[in-house]
Amino acid sequence: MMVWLDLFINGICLGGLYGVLGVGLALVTGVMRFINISHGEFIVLAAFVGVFASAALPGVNPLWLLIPVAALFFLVGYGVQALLFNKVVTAPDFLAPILLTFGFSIVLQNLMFEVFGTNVRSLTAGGLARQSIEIGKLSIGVLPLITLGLAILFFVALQLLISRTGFGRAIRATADNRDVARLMGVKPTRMFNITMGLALSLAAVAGLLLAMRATFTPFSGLASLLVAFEVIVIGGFGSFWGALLGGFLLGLAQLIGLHFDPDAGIFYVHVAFFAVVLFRPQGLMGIRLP
Amino acid sequence: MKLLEVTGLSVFYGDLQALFDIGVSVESGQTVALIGANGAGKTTFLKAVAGLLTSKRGNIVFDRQKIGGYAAERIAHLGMALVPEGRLLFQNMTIEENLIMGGYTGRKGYWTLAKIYDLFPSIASRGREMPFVLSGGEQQMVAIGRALMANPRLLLADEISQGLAPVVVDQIYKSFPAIRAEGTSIIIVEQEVKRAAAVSDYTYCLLKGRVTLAGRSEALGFDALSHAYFGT
Ligand SMILES: Nc1ncnc2c1ncn2[C@@H]1O[C@H](COP(=O)(O)OP(=O)(O)OP(=O)(O)O)[C@@H](O)[C@H]1O
Ligand SMILES: [Mg+2]
Repeated sequence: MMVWLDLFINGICLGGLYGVLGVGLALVTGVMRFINISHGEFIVLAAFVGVFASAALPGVNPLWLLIPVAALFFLVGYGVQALLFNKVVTAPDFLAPILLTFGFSIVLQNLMFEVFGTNVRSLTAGGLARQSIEIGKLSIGVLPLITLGLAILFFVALQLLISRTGFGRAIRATADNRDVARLMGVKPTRMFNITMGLALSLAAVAGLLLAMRATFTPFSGLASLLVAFEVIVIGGFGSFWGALLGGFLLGLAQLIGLHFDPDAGIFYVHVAFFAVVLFRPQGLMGIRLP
Repeated sequence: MKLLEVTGLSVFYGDLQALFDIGVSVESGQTVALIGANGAGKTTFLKAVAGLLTSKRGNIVFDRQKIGGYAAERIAHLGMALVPEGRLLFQNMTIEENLIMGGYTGRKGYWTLAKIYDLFPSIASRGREMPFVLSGGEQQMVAIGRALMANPRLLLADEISQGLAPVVVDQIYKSFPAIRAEGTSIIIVEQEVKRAAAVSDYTYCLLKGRVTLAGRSEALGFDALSHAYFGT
């Protein structure tokens, strides 16, 4: 019983992180009808930035790095969208965005390989990584709990931004019908730049948090992209709460799988994904943007 | 004063030319009707003027600015609003959010949420509902209200009576005097020629992408009109 409770809590904590991994991608897909294949590489790039920033600032808890790195990646997302991705967002050919972002992911991957090498790295969260809260016989890691708290915080903030603000309304209008939004005075490319900025700052947060619990190399982007992708497919395209739910499900699947089959890695994540797609192809929520 | 002056406008969809050398002008405060059979090019004209179609030649002067090369969002900020054919409300937003979205440019003027609800009492208590629960006529009111929220100087209305019962159409056209009273110029596209003539000061008839007749609405003769409309 205790084992199950332990697995459940840790699975939810990991799942929250997976949710953040996916929600940035979900935001972009929902608003632009555009799949960013290089999303995973940005997650890894953020992790590298985190590792080097952390080395340069000894004694600073790496959790504090979340704020500047997220801000930096907002600018990166804004810039990449403005300079590169906007050229294909309106392309009539749906292959154009896939090819461009796929090519971009390869370029990023090889650049990171050139600059950082293939060493396996991780971000040490200091004493935090070993701290845990004991409740009876149950022991919950402090870092996973913080991760979950942050994930929920980001989901709530994003939800409020999209559903309650004028900016969020303009984003939803653009997602619904670009031309009609333009008739109201909305400049779609600007909405896209900001959306990509938000998406990549979420990716950066996910990248740093992932690097605190697992190792990574310049080639880890694909695994992150796959998980992010599975999260949003499970959640139902463009649904934020669906993405969080999808993250929880995959996190649980991974840890329960690992418990019975310690060599499985993230194999059971894919199994869970496959099962959902098989039995509920519209996703768990199966609704569009809020 | 001339608010809109279009001269020599040609518009293309790829290789296909949809409008040929169109000239249309709208005085400040005037209501102009654009009539013509299906496929004549009425919607194309409105979209080109509003900046949604970019493959075009000719001059478009709005409020003394040459806007032919401007993007739709820029033109919106100058005070032009389009009620699109088929209404095209934002389906994932409430009625009220749709209306608020119409005021995105922040242009100040007579029209506010409260004024729109005064104009169309049947949507007044339904701000929190989603567009799909409304009747066709009510949806059209939201579409018109959304355009008015921009406090436009020129309102373009594309077939606002499409698919609506005659009584509902009457009800919607009853709002026009109030819109005109604010000095707003209007271009209406309308299938029903009699109604178009009744609400407008000036009428243009399009046929296969060309202006075949233009004149003061009250002076249009039936024979000339049917000749211009059907090309017979
Ligand atoms: N997106 C498009 N691509 C290619 N051709 C188009 C497109 N939209 C319209 N056309 C063509 O341009 C011409 C004018 O069409 P338009 O929609 O402007 O006519 P309309 O007068 O508004 O007709 P209706 O009364 O049916 O709304 C038609 O021949 C139509 O087939
Ligand atoms: Mg039309």
